[in-house]
Amino acid sequence: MPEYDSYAPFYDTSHGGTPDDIPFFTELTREANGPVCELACGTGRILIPLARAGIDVTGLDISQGMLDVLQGKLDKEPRDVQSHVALKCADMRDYHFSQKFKLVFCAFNSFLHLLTTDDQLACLACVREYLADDGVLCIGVFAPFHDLLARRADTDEQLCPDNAIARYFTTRNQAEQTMELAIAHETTDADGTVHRHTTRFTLCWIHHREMHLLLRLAGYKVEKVYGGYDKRPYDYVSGRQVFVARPLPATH
Amino acid sequence: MPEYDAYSVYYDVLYGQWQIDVPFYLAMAKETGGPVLELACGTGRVLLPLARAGFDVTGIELSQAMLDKLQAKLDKEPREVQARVALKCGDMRDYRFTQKFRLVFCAFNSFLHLMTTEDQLACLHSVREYLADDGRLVIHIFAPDHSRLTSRDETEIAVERDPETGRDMVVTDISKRDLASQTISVWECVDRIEDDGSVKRYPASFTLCWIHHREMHLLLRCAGYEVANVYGGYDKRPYDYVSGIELFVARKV
Repeated sequence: MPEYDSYAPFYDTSHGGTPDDIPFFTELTREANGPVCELACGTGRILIPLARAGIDVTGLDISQGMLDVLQGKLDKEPRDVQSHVALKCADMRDYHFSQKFKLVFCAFNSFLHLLTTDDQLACLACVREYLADDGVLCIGVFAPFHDLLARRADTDEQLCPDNAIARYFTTRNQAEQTMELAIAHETTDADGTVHRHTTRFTLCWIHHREMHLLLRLAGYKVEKVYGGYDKRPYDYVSGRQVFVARPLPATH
Repeated sequence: MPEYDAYSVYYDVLYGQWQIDVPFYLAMAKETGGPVLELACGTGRVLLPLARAGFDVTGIELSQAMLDKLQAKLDKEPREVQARVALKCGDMRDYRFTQKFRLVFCAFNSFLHLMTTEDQLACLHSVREYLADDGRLVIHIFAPDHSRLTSRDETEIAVERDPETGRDMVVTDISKRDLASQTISVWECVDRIEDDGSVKRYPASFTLCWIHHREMHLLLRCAGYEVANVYGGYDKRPYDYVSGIELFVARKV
């Protein structure tokens, strides 16, 4: 996954500023009361705070580049924090842990990197095998706005720390239900020289009823759908849909 | 279902002449062979041409008033056409036929009157019981256009030719969309001009949902079907976002 590897050095400055989900996942992991697995853990934005809170957490990510950044941060943590963390570079569509987890979660749209229904179902089927029978699966994805989906292309800019700018160029394919995202990360040297680093990747979006059907088809029962990490109820304007599901008995 | 009964009063005035999809369903029936079942057959706009073409065709419909209109048209058909038609007033979500059908179809967005995922799956599971193993299920839905789903409320007013009087009639549609629940409430009325120049208004209201492309695939898969084709038009052009309609052709797994 070279596209994610090249994004790794910039991920934290582009996305480090949206940490409102950490208290939510911390609470969820406390309720789970057992080992936790984060799918697509990236550079550890959520995983490291969980480990600091004393939670045993395994991170899975397809990009060794992302995991290297995470490992670099982990190396600076105290020993006992390090001892709570296990990392695995693998594809969440076909990786099987022998261990069972009480909570498996996939935060901040990472699930949308699984571009097709088949990819999504393959991932959910894998998770079903290493999620404890009384465990919880949590997946957070954005709630698509039709006025954005109606546009073929748009741009967005975000100011990052140290005068860096992240420019987002989105091109949508409505028939395929996918969007290509190009992120140009621009930093400025002391002498005014601008460095631009561009990463491209593709995401899909998932409609509300569609996500219910995916979970159902893969053998889960949806317990709650939040509209945000403050646990507000899902509605169209909430912008987010955070699904909390439990596995159905295997005989479903 | 009083809302569909009110709808039946003017349904044929709006859509009775509509023929665009009939050749497609005739061709499908020729491919699969009969017997054929139409879900939500309404006033028989598609069902009657199939019967005239020689297919044994059963229609199921929730509204007795719709079926009464169909029956009145059927009464004017030759005996042998009448003999090929069976009508059943029932709910497609939980009606069981003992007979097996080679083609089951639901035309012109009727499937979207099933408002929830549960309703849709209940219907698909029911159909699975009476669809022949080598049969085909065809469902027509409109392809949601995101630019239209942005507005919660929409009023459409159209002036059309009244097929019975030849005069202009005004059709008003007031749609309210609930974007979270993925549903639309429609209030519709047809204003027809009488012989004496007075205007008579025929109002009705009904609800619809919309179904996204991947969602429809998942519904069929969940209910034990595999999708054989998705057409974007009655000429069998491939589905794409701008095709406007989606014709799903599925078979039992």
